[in-house]
Amino acid sequence: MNAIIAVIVNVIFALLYAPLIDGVERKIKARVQRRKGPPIQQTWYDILKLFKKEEIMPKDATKSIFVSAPFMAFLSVLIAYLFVPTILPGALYFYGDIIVVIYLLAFSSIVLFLGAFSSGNPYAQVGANREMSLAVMEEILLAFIVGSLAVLNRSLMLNRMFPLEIKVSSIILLAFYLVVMYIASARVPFDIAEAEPEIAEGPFIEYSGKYLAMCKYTIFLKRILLTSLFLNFVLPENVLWRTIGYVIGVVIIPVILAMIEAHMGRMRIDQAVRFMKRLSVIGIFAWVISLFGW
Amino acid sequence: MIPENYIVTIPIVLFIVASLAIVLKKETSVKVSSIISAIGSSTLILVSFIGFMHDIDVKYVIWDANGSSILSSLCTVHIHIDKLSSIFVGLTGIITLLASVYAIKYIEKHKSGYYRLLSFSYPLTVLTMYLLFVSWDLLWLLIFWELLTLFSQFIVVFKGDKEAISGAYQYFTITKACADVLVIALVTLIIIVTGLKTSYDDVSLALWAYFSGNKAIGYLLAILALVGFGAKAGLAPFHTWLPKAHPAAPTHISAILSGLIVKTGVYALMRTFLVFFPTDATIGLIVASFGVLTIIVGNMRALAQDDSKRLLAYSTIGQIGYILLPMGAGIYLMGIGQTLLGGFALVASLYHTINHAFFKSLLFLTSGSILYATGSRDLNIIGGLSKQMPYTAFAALIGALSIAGVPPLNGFVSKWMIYSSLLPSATVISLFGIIALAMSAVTAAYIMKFFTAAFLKPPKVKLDVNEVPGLMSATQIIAAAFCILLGVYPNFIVKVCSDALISLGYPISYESFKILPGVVLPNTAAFMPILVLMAVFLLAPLLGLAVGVDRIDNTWTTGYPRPTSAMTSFGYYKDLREGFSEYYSISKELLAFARRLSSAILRMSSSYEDVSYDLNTMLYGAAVFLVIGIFVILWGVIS
Repeated sequence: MNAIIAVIVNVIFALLYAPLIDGVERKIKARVQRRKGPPIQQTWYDILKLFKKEEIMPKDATKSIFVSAPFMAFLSVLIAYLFVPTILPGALYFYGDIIVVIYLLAFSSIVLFLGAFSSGNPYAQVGANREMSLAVMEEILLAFIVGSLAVLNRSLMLNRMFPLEIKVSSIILLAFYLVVMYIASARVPFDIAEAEPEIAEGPFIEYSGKYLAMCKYTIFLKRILLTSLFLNFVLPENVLWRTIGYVIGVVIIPVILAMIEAHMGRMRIDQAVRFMKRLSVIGIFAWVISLFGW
Repeated sequence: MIPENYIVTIPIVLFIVASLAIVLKKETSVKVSSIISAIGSSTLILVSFIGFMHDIDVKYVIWDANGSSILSSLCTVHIHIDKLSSIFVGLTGIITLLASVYAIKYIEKHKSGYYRLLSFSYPLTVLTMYLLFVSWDLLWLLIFWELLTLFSQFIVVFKGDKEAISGAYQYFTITKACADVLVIALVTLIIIVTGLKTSYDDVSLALWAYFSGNKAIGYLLAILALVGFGAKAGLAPFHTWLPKAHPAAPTHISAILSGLIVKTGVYALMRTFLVFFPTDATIGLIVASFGVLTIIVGNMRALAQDDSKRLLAYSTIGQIGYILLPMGAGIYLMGIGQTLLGGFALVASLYHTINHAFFKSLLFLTSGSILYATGSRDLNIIGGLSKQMPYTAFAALIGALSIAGVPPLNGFVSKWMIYSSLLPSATVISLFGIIALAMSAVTAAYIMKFFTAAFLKPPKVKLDVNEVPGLMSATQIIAAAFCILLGVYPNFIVKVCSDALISLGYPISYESFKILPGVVLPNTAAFMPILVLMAVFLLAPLLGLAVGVDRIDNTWTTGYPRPTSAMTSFGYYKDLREGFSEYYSISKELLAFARRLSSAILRMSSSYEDVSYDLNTMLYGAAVFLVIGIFVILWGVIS
């Protein structure tokens, strides 16, 4: 029963917090670039405004897929929160839950891909293709992380991995995870799928109103999910310290990432793919070390 | 109550009657044979139910021979349906039933072809497949194995054009001329080892005893079996015939070839490695490594295909890898004593076999419907069919999402079981698990390419098509319903698969899976995440419909007139494929190397005749050449 209450609190926390921290990030990015920047509630205002706007559908679109895709993507990321604790240390754990989390994240990419294609817009197709290419590479990297964690802990249950033992392999894995997290959260050198100045938000180009709000919300939720997963790997088990650490971490990490983001320019998709392919070598290395149990 | 030996015979009679449709004319012959085959297939489902409840054991004595045991086993058809066989028989029944019903309308679209050959060979293919699954004698297995290749090759050639003939030729050369030689060699060796006994019970007893004494020869036999049976299943690197033969056949046949006939290889491998051979870690490792190779080859190749049926054929190769990998891993883990994970992997392998039969035949049927409606298989040309063909699009979407492993559908459950058993094993198997997990993203990518290219992206030229006839779309919807059902309620299949493995003597208990709670089994955790997922995914379209659309407007192309160049299938994931260009170039080099090697061997063997004057060296040399030659040809020289 406790777990269910914790899950409910965690989901509500994530829903409220995810757009807020995006507002903070926007402010910081503006400051780094010597701009004044919007107020930190701006992302929330944007979402609320989008909810009031009318929904437009292009005439080439396949309606059933076009309208359900944003909700599917949003809900699949939201379900992933059932298995990953955020502010309260409690979630629905079961054997193999980490695989479910990965598949849900992949599913949100698949659904956005479908939604983009269903709009019939050529820009959306270009963006969706990039989104899928990135998702494939992300999953290859995540597979190494999951496999190494499973070997290290002899289990596939997330709560056995919270927190990770301090070992050489777990430190390498966490560093590796941070990089993958940065890539998967569609931040600047890797926001190739959306690429506003280039292909006009790619997969989201035809979405408007509530659908666009859902698409944006999905990205914010995905970022906080990945951050929470990282924090769970490092924070201690003690509830008090964990909560304090979590609150600090969930603010600090996005801020640091936003600072990095502000200094970057966008990569081309082929550069990103090559970059991630090279990263996978570290993945193999991490797996070998975990196998030795170092 | 009808006696069992009659029940086993009913399908045999029905399929033979169906093959008599050869006397009719053109399309009518195919239709009649399909209808009778459909009835035969339904009796197969009945047989499989009875076989699962209790083993059926029937012996038909053709001619009473009291002489040597080899002769007497040839003169007796020993049919024995255990749980493993009945799973495969049940699959055969359901899939061929769907395909036969689909064929009734589908065949009208074909302008020409060898109709009589098809109407004769199709029921006999199903019949020999059934007999292969139920025979309890190695010699008869061999006979049905050969007959199956023979008849299925006739139906591949149906269209009679260049593609069909060359596909059938390759199918013949690789699976029959090469792989079957190995199978015959294997069976002969096993018969010698067992002292001329060919019944499955005797074979497994004798081989277990033999294996403990002669490890090296045991491994040799295992490799022979893996290559011989595996070539039929599309095991890499002996897979080159599959993407040529499967698309060449008429589509309902492609569905059977990819959904079932490759499963005869899987069945033979399961029978061999799970029953005849003891669970030895080394054998498991060999099978698992070939499985991983198969996954990589199939998936990476499927990513680069522009022909819908060829994409699905390569996908079959990849999915066969997903079946063989957990099978090998299960044997390996059993061999090193991790029985819980090992048992889980074996169940996963069997589960994925069942799942693959459903979603692959579903996807092939939808590709057939596309072909029926548009007359094209080229993903560059077709597109935007979801509006004109909503039912087909829905079925294809379910199939695509299942194969991609999206949570509440069947592909997810078996893939989840594969990773759950492989990843935490802390051996090299976990690296295989990682590769399989990474490759599942590629699976999602290529199948989304298939779906979006056919149904969502704008077509190159405006297509004026209609939804396929009701009979065809009904079969697709039924197959889609199976995909959903097997994913939402996995307990039944897990129980069936674990029962089958328990009956083979594996230390698996359905109960022991309860320590692996959550998605697979209830009564273990307080909730079922799968139910949550289902509710949510039903909720999403409802929310979408509730929100609705206020206005329909032109597609926004940033102010320019609509770009004329529509997206082609060739453009999909171009950068991703270029990122993996090393893989594609390596495989090309390997192929070139194999070609050079084979021509070098040809030259050497012609000059060998001059050199060899000593009979002894000649014989040894000939044996070595033969073995090398077979392997080289199998490597895919003929392409």
